[in-house]
Amino acid sequence: MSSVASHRTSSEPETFRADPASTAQRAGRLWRTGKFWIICAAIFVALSLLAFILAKGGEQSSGTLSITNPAPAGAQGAAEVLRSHGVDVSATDSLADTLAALSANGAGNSTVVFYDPYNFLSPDQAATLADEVREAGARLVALSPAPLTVARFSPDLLSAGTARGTASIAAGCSQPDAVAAGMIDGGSSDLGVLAPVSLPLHLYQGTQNCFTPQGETAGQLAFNAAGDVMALGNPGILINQNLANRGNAALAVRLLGHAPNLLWYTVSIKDLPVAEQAPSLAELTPSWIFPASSWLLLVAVIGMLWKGRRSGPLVPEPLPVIVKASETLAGRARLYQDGRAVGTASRTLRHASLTRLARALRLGITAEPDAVVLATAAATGRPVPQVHALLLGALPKTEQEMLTMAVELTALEEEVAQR
Amino acid sequence: MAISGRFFYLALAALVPIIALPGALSWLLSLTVLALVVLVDLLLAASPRKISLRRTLPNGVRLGEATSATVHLANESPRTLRAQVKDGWQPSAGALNPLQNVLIRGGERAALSVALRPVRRGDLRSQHISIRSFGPLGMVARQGTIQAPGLLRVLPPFHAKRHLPSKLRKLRELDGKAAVQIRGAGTEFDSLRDYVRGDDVRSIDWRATARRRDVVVRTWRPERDRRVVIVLDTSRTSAARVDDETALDTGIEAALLLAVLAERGGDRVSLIAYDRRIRAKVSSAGKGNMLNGMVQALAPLAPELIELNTPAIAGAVRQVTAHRALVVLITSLDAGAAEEGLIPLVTSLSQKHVVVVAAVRDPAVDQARHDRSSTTATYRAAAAEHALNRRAAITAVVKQAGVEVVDATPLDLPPHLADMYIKLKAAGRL
Repeated sequence: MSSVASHRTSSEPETFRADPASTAQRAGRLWRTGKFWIICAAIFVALSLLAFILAKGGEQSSGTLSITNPAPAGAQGAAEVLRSHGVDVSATDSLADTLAALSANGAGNSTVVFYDPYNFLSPDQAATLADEVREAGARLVALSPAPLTVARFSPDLLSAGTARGTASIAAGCSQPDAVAAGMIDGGSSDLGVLAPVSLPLHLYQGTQNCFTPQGETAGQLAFNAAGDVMALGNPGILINQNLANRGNAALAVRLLGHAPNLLWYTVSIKDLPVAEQAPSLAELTPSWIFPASSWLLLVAVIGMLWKGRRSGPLVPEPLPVIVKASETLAGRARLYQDGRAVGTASRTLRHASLTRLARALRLGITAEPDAVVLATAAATGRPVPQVHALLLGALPKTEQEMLTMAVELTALEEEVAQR
Repeated sequence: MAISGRFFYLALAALVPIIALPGALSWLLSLTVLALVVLVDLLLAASPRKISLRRTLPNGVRLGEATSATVHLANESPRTLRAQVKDGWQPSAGALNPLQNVLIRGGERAALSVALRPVRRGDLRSQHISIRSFGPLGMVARQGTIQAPGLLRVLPPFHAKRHLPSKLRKLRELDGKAAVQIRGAGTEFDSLRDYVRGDDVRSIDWRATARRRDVVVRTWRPERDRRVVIVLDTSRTSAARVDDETALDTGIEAALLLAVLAERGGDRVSLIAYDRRIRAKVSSAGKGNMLNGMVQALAPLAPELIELNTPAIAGAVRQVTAHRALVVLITSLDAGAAEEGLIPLVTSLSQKHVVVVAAVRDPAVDQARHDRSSTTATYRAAAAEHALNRRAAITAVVKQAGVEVVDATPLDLPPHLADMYIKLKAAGRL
């Protein structure tokens, strides 16, 4: 045998070389085998890029009265109409930006739309804005300004509370813009529109009040004495949903399109004064933390590539079929136990013991059970009735009895064997 | 492409300048250094595709013995190859050092020896060799795999070989080659010789005595040149694992011992491994080393999950020999399979041949029979008694047909089968 093992092949062994295919052929093979997954990956990447571009490139927002919001509550329509009339519409979201844009536009070239939905702007800031606007010779259109704010914009203007909306409301004054618009929406939501948007309605008392509801002296549109600061208590006429109704568009264009530049100033969180709060986490951490942690991330990826790269393809191991031989035995035993087959089990045990006793006592396999009992009793010296009861008596009823019988059978067989 | 631990630690070391001089510049500089290292190593590494390989493999190795497979590498590129070479042996080949480092200068050759200690019988393969060729910095490598199929045949261990000397001695005693001359050594006439005191008077050849005027006795020797056909069952029942080896492995051991013994005894041995078709067929009719041919044929056998086609076995035996033979069936005596197929088969075979049925007995069943310590154990004992009872019944039926049965545990089966052969030969039944 050992000579077989040490004997080696005498013929010249085959020489193996790398696959002679060129890089292009190998790439082609890779494409053929992994076509499905490559296409899946390409589609995934393309869809991700598309979604990213759509989300980023559209510059859409969802704010109410935002000039980049095409939804019913947005004001993109008004901005587009004004742009088509040659007005340069730009949005700002902080007081500093607005003032900078105002001074950049030059004197008398701007209209500023002021909208502060959350009432962030302090009265002092409002006064600053009003001063700057006046110095620049611009018009200030305040959309639903708060009572304290409107008072700072112009001493002529006062807030006169809210009013219930009506379907429509007439100009009711001699201001040329209002007269040109004629009839506008009265502020109640249009029932004909699905998911209607309604904005709160405010009334203002100024030197000149237009769109005055019946029985009121204050109007939805109030001007100061100079006519360059106005408060529009019904900004709902500007949103995309309502712009096409009645004289809404006319009023919007005339109010906002006076000057070649329109600054659409929506007050944001940036205008909140910086409180004396605790320094942020970014200010507390040392400057090397971010570069070091990002580098460690890179190192971790390198470590994964180091340890994760297999040295060669996976090797399969064809396993042979192996079944445990005593499986059927264990299965039958469990079946006996689950079925509490005391009778069957006891009968089997007794029969096996009888067969073995007959062989041990040289009675042959065809011996009568009674003969085996007699021979066993004679061999062991036990009383015949006892041996008979054990080997041929009533079958056990309980598991305990079966266990006792099984042990006694073993003892009996041992006694006979030792004889 | 692959990277080494050295590259990882280099990247980790770059953390020091990044912490010392925080900022985008040091970060990007470190990244540039890493990229340069990758580029340099990749460009200067020898191509793993320009390596040619040859394998030198042993013809066969017995299970449990160690061997080595040699891989000859020739570097056909002008660059120095610094590589990790991985020989892709399947796990059961037990490669101790499948991953080795080599340094081969351009145009030179080297040989790698992979130590193998197979843990399973059969044909074990290595389909490919992977080469990871590092650049001069030892940080980044090009990796390639070359298809280089190699096959190592792991032969049955033949542990039963240790019984061979004692069984051969018994056989020689039968043959009359030993010092003791006995009359009843066989039925075949051997020679005449002078009577010496102590010889059986019944063996005196009177006719020869009359011619020679001296008392002459006949001597007998066992029959020679009888046929022994071993049928090894590779069907589903051979997949049963008894005592850490399958019934098929035990059967192979028993078949090998019997075959060697019978060949030394002067008989002609044939072996068929059968389930529904012939898996292996060896005959000692041809010249050459019978044992070698047999282990080579038996090595790749594996149990098949199909039922044994018993009616076809008689035909397979007839193809091997048209004469009366000793047919040894190495199969299973389990209830079910045996009742349907085995009993009719041995009944019909025994009309023409001497038939021996050898089966592996599960010692776990005998142990379970004795354990009556708890209710669960008692139920198990009852199940074991049931199994043994069925087995005894089948054995009785088979014996009634004049068939010998060898029913033994895995360790005992080969010697008991050999004993059965010697007994039959002594009795002149072959």
